[in-house]
Amino acid sequence: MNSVMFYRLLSAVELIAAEGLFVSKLVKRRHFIWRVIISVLAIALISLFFPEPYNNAWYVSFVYLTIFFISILAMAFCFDENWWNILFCAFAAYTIKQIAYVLSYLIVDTFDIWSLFGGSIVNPYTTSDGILAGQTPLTIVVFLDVFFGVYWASYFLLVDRMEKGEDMRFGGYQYLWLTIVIVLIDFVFNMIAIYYLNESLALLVERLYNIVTCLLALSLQFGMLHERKSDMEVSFLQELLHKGEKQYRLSKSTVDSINIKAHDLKQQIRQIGSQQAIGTVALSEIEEAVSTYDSVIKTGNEALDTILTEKSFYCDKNHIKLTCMVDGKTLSFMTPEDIYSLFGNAVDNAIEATESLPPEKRIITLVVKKEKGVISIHIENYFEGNISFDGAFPKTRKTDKMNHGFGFKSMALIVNKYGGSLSAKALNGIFNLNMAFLGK
Amino acid sequence: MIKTAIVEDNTGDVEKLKSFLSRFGNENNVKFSTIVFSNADCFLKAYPRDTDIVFLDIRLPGTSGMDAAKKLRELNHNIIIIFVTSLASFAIDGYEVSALDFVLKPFDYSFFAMKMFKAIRAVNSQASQSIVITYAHEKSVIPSAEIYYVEVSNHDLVFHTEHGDFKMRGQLKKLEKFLDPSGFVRVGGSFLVNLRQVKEVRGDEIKTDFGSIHLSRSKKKEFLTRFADYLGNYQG
Repeated sequence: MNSVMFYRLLSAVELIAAEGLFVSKLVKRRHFIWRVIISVLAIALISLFFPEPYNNAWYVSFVYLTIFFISILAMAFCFDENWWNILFCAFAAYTIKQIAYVLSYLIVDTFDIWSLFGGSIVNPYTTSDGILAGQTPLTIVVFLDVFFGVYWASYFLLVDRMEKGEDMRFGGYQYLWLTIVIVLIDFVFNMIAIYYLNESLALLVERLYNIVTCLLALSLQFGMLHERKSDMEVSFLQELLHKGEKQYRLSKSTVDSINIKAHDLKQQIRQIGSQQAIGTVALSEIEEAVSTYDSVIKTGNEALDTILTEKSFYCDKNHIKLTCMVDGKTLSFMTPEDIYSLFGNAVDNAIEATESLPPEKRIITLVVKKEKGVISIHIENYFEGNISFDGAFPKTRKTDKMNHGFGFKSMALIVNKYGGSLSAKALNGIFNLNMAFLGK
Repeated sequence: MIKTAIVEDNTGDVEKLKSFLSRFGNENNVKFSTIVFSNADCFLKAYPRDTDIVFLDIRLPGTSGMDAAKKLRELNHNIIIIFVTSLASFAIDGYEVSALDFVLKPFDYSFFAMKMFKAIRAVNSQASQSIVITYAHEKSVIPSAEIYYVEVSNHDLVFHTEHGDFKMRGQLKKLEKFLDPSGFVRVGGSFLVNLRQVKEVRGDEIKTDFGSIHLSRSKKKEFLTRFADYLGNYQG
């Protein structure tokens, strides 16, 4: 093994160690240990035996980049995660390794640790005096310490704060692309810096780094602005949900007491009817009026009963026909507050679409069933006009975009909480909303 | 031409349904043929086997609509079932008969129309595609409905069907595009499953009569979405 091979292997080991910082936060595939062993061996072998016919910055960059990308593939091989998460961790790992690497040379050069026990500066590409030529015991200790220090600090400052199984797609893929571009630029500059140590090129590289740093600062600024908006959205949504909880409790007791009163009223009316002669027409009119509030919806789930009853009052008043085919017991895995909020939103959306339609089209149907191991919820209603979709979600048609469109986001939050799927489509003038969850 | 059957003992309701069918047919340029039965047993014995849609009243003399539906499902996996019910209250117990939807009495045309759009889409999606499999100079024609799932093995596509396994050279991606209208979904890199043949989804396994396919975490959501769409809109 010559020193070129050794340094390549060392670099690969540093990279793997950095990527390893993220192990506890990513979902492992089956036979994880075997996959890791295979990957590490593959990367080690490739790093050692990669052919190097040329000896310039570009080719060397190519070699190291290739090894890096192979390590990305290895991560995909070992972890059951989507590509964004893997890229996120891989590039973070690369950057951490880079910091450690540059910092260690910085310290060693600045304090001239090379000459503390005698020794000369080593560039593995210009000398081949044996693997550790030019290294001294002290420099090795410094390198090791710096690497450990940087990795340890990175873990506690950055990785530890991540959640396991977190979705690392932060809003707008443009930020990840920017990161990737910056890292690649840094990578190439580093190679150039190792090879061409003359002044004018050094100045050029320094200026380019300067620009890159400014770009970073800008993206940080604007990224934070976006973050703040998202944060506001999230806390707004949480407020809504919280209010929804209170509302649910209020609604439940209201609905219960209305039901009881209506039931009593009905009894009394019957008594009046049988004792005195109220015209049968008048009697049946009164009964019908009260019937609405006596209609107790029993789906097998209390929270669902509550929200559907509440909505049915509204629908009746506005001549909207809300019909349901619901097996409420299938929803026992959801909390009552979530059910109340989810169905409240879904039915509200449908009500809004149908309220202003001609009376014969004011129809909403709701189906909740469990079939083939999948619990599914379907809502359909007529609608008018055009609905444009933003991915799987319909874009809000209301003018106040900031405050509206939350119905869907709120539903999406709840659906995601239980690992389900939410999708919508609009066909033939009919809007379909579908949700599905895997049963236990 | 869409073939329908109405199983309903109230002649007034039958006439209403028929008039709705013809109105829908005129408005949307669809031709229907209808055959009427007044009870479930007659229907089960004598219904034309190529019926596309059956309107089944829940409350029937003799065998109930729900029991009839269960028996019907055992005989015919593909027929579209639409329940007809006069339940004014809102909850109906869960059903395992894979009914597409329901129509309420008293009948309302707009309501009926909403369901019919779905039913027709479901019927059309069942018009089974066939696929010609050529391998080692042998040709077989297989209706897509009979395929449980397709998997990739070396460079070949292996079709697991109700009539055995078939092999063919090809790319899963192209096949996926071709079979998409028949309700086939890609699961992971090497499986293409027929949603119609999915018997159950349990834990992280998709179960068919042939075998199970592992559903990885990253593919779960997409599969669920497609399956939910199928359950809600194309059931039959």
